Amino acid sequence: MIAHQHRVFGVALRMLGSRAEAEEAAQEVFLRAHRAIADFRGDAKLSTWLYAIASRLCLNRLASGERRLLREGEETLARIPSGHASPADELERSERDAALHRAIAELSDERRLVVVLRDLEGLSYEEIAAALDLELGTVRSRLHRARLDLKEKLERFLP
Amino acid sequence: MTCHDAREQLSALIDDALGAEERGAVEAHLATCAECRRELERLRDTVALLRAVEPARAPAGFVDRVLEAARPAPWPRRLVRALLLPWPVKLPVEAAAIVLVAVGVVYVFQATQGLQQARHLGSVQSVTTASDQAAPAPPSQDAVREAPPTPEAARAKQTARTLEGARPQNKEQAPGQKALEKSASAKETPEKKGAPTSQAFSEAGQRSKDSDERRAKLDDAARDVAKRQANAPPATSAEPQVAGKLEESPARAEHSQGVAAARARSSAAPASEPRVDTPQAPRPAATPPMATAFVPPDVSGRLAVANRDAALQDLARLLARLGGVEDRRFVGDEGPIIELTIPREAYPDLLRELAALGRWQLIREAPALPERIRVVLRITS
Repeated sequence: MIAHQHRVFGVALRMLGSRAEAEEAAQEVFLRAHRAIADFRGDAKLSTWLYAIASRLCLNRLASGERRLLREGEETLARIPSGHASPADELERSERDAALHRAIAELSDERRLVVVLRDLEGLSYEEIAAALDLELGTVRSRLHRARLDLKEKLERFLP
Repeated sequence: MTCHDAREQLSALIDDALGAEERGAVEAHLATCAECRRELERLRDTVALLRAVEPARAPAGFVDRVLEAARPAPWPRRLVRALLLPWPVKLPVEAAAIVLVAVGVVYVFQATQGLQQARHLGSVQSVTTASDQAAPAPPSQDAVREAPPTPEAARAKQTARTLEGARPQNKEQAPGQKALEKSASAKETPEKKGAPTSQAFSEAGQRSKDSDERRAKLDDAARDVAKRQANAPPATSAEPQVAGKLEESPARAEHSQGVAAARARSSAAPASEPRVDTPQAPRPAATPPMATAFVPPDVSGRLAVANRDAALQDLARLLARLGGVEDRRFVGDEGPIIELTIPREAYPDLLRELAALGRWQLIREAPALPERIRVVLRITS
């Protein structure tokens, strides 16, 4: 669990938008996994199984409408270490991060989930298909649509 | 391959997720189309931006909190949860618990003789209370002779009449109060008249010293009344329970009161709450009075035996043979106290048999014995 906590929390954070809600959801993911450990098939990776649980739980929460409306956008931003960047660079980075996050947050839930799993969490297409119980072609097209959306919104930050 | 087809594959190309054939086709198109190459670069940069996002980290203590939540709750918390069941479950359970407690109280009361004795003693108090309560009539002597509203009032006035003989200066007081005072002053009057001492009645049925004295006083007062009635039975007596019997035969007045007393005792508690009468609870006015409970037995005596249990068994057989009935039994300081009723014709046999059972000492015998004689025996060692 120690090895997977950050991944599960990361998915929940990017999908749900607030750290508090993400922690609650991630905790629920591990509790469900704990209860359903007998259902875990040894042939799948444990991480894929946990991602599957986390993805379903997040989509359900998003669909149920019970979640808080608050979207703590800044919270979900990754704080990239600034290093020795100049104040101008720092400002630009900050703006870009904000735009990036906003763009991710504005994706549809299904597209956002795929892009989070692929580009932020690094899952393969096959793993995503397994976790979300989708066809490989569906994963590929959703991911591509998500990236095109993001490209449009982040146009001005691209080199 | 058209630009549209090629651009659809760009993401997969970036992720190296295309088959060799697809990849070849896309790359062939890209080699000829600068626009699609530019599109590929923009997409690659976008993906690079995404992948530069630092991975999120779960907050500190997250694992501990999960483990805490996954651990089964400690038993006190589970107990509390079990107790706080949903209402549809909890209410019947609580109702059943209340019923159980009530049944338990009744059982303990029945099983504990001390409590029953307390109830009996409580009825002594209720006489004075009843006398007190029966005082709405005007404070004239004539009013005492009017029909009393309740049996308690009748008895209170009966006692009050006795009192008036002894203390006529109390006319201005309500009869009930007089009756109460009679209870207090009774300790002098019987002695002046040479009535049986309180010891006589104490022999007959009581354990507690205090209650012995109090009962003896009340007993003497009641006997005094009975004697007066025997000499001049009150034809207009309105007492519903006892008057009829009094009119049967003046000589049997005392016995009649005894019968009434037994009846009053047996029906002392209302049917709705047969045994849970608390000593302090005031009785309803409609209930037969307990006052007759203090009329002394017709016969009392002491039977000293070597073996009490054997004597009690012999006594039970004897009663069965003679047609007698054991009414009540107490546990006294010196031994069991039996209250029994026996037909008059069997009384000589009873005395003879008692003398055979042990050392029999007749303490009191009424001058005129009724048809059914009430006897109180104290069995001692």
